[in-house]
Amino acid sequence: MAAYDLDEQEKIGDLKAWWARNGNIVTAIVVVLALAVAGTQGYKWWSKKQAAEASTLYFAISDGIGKNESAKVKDATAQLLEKFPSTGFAPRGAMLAAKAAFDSGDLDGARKNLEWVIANSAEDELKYIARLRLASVLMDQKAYDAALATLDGKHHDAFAGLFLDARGDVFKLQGKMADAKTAYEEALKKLDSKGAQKQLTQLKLDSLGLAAVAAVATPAASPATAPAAAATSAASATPAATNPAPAAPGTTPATKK
Amino acid sequence: MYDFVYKNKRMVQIILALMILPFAFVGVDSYVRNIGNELDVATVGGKPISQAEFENALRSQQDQMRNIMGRNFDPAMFDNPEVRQQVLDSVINQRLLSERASKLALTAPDAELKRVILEIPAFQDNGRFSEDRYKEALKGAGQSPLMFEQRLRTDLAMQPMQDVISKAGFIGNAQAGAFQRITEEAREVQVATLSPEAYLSKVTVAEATVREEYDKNPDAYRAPEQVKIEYLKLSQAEIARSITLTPAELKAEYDKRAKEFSAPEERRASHILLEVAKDEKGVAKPDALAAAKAKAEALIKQAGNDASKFADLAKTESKDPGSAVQGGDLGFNARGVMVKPFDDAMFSMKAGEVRGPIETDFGVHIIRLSEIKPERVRPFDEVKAQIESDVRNARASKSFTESAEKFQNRVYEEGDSFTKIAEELKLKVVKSDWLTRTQAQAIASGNQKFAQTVFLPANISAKRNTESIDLGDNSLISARVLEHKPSAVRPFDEVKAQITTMLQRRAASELAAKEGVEKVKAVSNGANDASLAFGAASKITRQSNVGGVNASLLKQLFAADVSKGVAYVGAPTDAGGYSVVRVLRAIEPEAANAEKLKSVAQRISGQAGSDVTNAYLTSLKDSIKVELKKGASVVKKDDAASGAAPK
Repeated sequence: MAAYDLDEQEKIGDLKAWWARNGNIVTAIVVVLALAVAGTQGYKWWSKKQAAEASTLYFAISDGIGKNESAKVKDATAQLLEKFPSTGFAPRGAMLAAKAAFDSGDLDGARKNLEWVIANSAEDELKYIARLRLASVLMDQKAYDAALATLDGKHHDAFAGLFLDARGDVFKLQGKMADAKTAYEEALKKLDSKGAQKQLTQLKLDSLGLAAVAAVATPAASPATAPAAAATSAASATPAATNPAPAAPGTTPATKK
Repeated sequence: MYDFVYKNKRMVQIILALMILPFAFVGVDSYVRNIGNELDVATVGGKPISQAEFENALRSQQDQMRNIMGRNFDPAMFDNPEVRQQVLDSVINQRLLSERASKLALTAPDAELKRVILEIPAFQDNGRFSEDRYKEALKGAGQSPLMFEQRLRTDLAMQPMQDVISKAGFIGNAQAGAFQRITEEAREVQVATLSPEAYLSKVTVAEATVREEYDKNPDAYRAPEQVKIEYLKLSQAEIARSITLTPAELKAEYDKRAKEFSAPEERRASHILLEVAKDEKGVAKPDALAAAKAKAEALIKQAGNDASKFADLAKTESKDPGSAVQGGDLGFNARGVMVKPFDDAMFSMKAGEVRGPIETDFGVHIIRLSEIKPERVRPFDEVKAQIESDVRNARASKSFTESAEKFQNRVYEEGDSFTKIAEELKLKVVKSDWLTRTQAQAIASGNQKFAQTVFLPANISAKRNTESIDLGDNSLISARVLEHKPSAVRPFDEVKAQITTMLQRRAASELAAKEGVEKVKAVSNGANDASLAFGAASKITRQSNVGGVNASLLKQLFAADVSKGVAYVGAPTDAGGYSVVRVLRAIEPEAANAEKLKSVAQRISGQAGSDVTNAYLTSLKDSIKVELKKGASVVKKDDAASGAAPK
């Protein structure tokens, strides 16, 4: 061990003094940091383990659906939702189980699973999808008010078109055609013009929107004149020439006054 | 200082160990990962998508399109910013899903991994998984089992992300049934169409109106650019046609190719081969040879003149395995195919003769000649046409090759005339009438380049011969512009008739529509209109495609209320007429059975699936930030800026 010169000895003395003053606190900080790191890592390890076990149950549900074993599906779903409710597998398993229940005619089972997702999923995005499907199940159960209440639930603006379309469907089933028309019209404003849903909604709107107008405006022909007119119409109607002529100005048909 | 460290060694070690700890758990990459790179095209949840990753996606998309479209595939479509944006969007969407999946720590269990691997047909042998096939197949793809399993596990872990939308998606019977009614409910209708032609006679168009229409947009009546040209074409087919051949020439050619037109004599023989033991030098042992010969003599006597007996003996005695089973038959052979002693014997025998023993390297043979096919020569008349066309083509090809170079050089050298070169090559200069581009193209067997070249401003102004253009079918062409007419608005008088017809049709349509509207009103009020020629009653659904009934009319006729009797609706047709529809009654769709409902539900839920997916992905962007890098060479800058999603 070499001898230190005075300067160095002085520095060492300073350091020793500093350590005597602050040693405990430094040690404490280091220990706390280490515990925090160990804690987070432990938590990560634990959630990984949870995810691994949950994944086994999820794939059991998926497998059970493929093989049409409803007992297996129900059992695996129950375990998954009870033991691992906070994993990403739980809501997804519940959604699969809901579909399986619906397919086997078990509307209550489908409803229960979807309601679980809405109540428990940590991912809001899945709740939106679950609400749409739950509304569809409730429509089958003729629980129209509950369906509307479900569709009133929180959802991202990207889902607005789909939710409005479903509202239209509920109103139509209730026989409230005017409300249905409004809902479909609103839905069309929100739906993605590239998606297929927009066309479906448009078709639904067409099928009721004009009917409401026409019912008021079209005068009924008297039954007596109709057969007479029909008798005179022997010639078949063929579409006019293939030569495309300039379009006629927007003539409004008599039925739409 | 050292002393301090030395004295407190234990403590310093602990501190160092603690400092290492975070790296041990998290890895160094998480400290480095988030450093942005200028070459990135976007970041998803803070993690970059590199230019290379984007290019990869673009390439695999291209490959897919190439597979689907085959020869119609145009790689240029991937230069379109919109297409590139779509590819980028799909990469980002994929990333959004995997980002969420990794945050949720989605994994696939070993059992699932195993199940999937066992089911992949490429790894199976006779329908069962084979370890060897597995390793082999992966080796072929340049992957280790570990790498493959890792990738597969990642893919499988993504499955729940997809399942929740597609596999778990459904739509209820109430909704499906309502939709099914819409698509299947029908109306029974009769259609009467007022054709615009019927109104033409009632229409007069004043010349002033025609003039007005012309003056409004004279550019609509533009004549295309036209040229008159002179052209010279050198074509091998043309040369071939011009060649005349004398009968003497053809006969000489026939004699020259006589061999080609003759089939040589062929003989069909059967044989029995007897083996002879050889010594170490390869020479037959005398005693064995004598024995074989003696046996051959005996067999010849046994067979006699009987072909079937010979065949039987060949089957049992011959040591030539190929022919023995055929009863010794060797089929037809021309001279020189067999070894010499055999060949000589075969071609000196008469049909039906049996000869032997014949000694060859194979052993001792007994030969039976069964058939002789004499030499046959195809007569001159039979092959004359073929010879003529061969000679013609050969000479034309030679002549074309000789002339082609001269043609190419001289049309260019001569500059402003084809006279000399035409004389030299005995070609005819052709003068055209006025030609448009399309017409010019037709002259050159549809060759686009020819039309382009002729209409080049330089060639139009210089009035010189164009370069020689290869039309691809062994013909060359060159042209010179004689006169040129630029594209110009056609004078009124030239287009007057055309405009008049157009205006008449327009007016007739208006008239038809006007009358149609009145007729609908009248018949709706109970009037009887014999002029409406209604067709036979037919059933029509919302998806029907019936002549004279367009989408707008369809909507109306379904909207018409027929609860109290027939109703009438009408609308202008696409062909400029007007259709009046008598709606007789509504036909309710049959109540759907469970199976039908299910298929309708599946169809709608499948169609709407992409909307659900898109909505889901958009909502994900709330929690996973997506940033597009401006200036990345993906799309134009403006697009990149407006596409940024986070709200």
